[in-house]
Amino acid sequence: MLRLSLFAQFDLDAAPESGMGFHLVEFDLDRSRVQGLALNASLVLLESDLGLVQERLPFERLAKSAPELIELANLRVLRREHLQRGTKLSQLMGVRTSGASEAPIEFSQSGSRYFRFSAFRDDRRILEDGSLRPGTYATTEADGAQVKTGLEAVDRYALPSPDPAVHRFRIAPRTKTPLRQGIVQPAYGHRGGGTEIIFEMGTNPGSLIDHAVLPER
Amino acid sequence: MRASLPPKWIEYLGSLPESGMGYQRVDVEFEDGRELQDVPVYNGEELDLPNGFSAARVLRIAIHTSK
Repeated sequence: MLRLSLFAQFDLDAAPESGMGFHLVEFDLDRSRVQGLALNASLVLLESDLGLVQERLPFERLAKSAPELIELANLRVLRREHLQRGTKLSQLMGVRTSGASEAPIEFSQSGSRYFRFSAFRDDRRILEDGSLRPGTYATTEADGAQVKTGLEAVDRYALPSPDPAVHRFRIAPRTKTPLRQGIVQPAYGHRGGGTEIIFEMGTNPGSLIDHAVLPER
Repeated sequence: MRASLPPKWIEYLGSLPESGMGYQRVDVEFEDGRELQDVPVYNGEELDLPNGFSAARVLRIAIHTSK
């Protein structure tokens, strides 16, 4: 749980609410992109805090237990459909879970980034000009940031090959790139549960911005 | 057993959508009339085949459509 600084409170005060008395927010924390629920534009509950909402603790009691005031880097307000699927927050907000292929078309937001995991350094879905072919899968940056090893990627994205998907490609497509977003369904003996994205029309040249190699396990 | 597909099939699979991150699920017909359903292809180039099948004898490939 985080108590927002006055500057961050002003930012949220100026933004439309996501519902009565709350904002759905995303920000940088400890080098990861994190989503949370901001109450009264002053207190942010993280994924691990959401049980407190279900316990219906009064706001004043929650606020008293929050730590120091903090600034949140790159804070932005989210729409419900941009919540990471399969999380307590998305369940709390009534976001349904299904594979990306069954989801409606939406469009990438300004500044949104994505990860693609592969067992192959020479990933054939990524073209020489740094674009992705139409119909290529990826995940959101927030979801992919939770994956620390190639085998974790295999489990989270329910990949049929047991080869560790150690190659992590970061994709920054143009704003309004068409995509579908859903939740990886269990398959091939893996749990799934990660967010999956299909870039229906691929991505623009130069959208591949970096590559990293993760440990196998 | 993994088998590398001939270049023409690699090129063809590149034009088709994925079924998940890094793989396609395909139905394959072979020159001798045998067929395989719902076979994974990794990175659009490595076909996961049972023993006794050859990637060099593929006659037709289509994305597997049922769940």
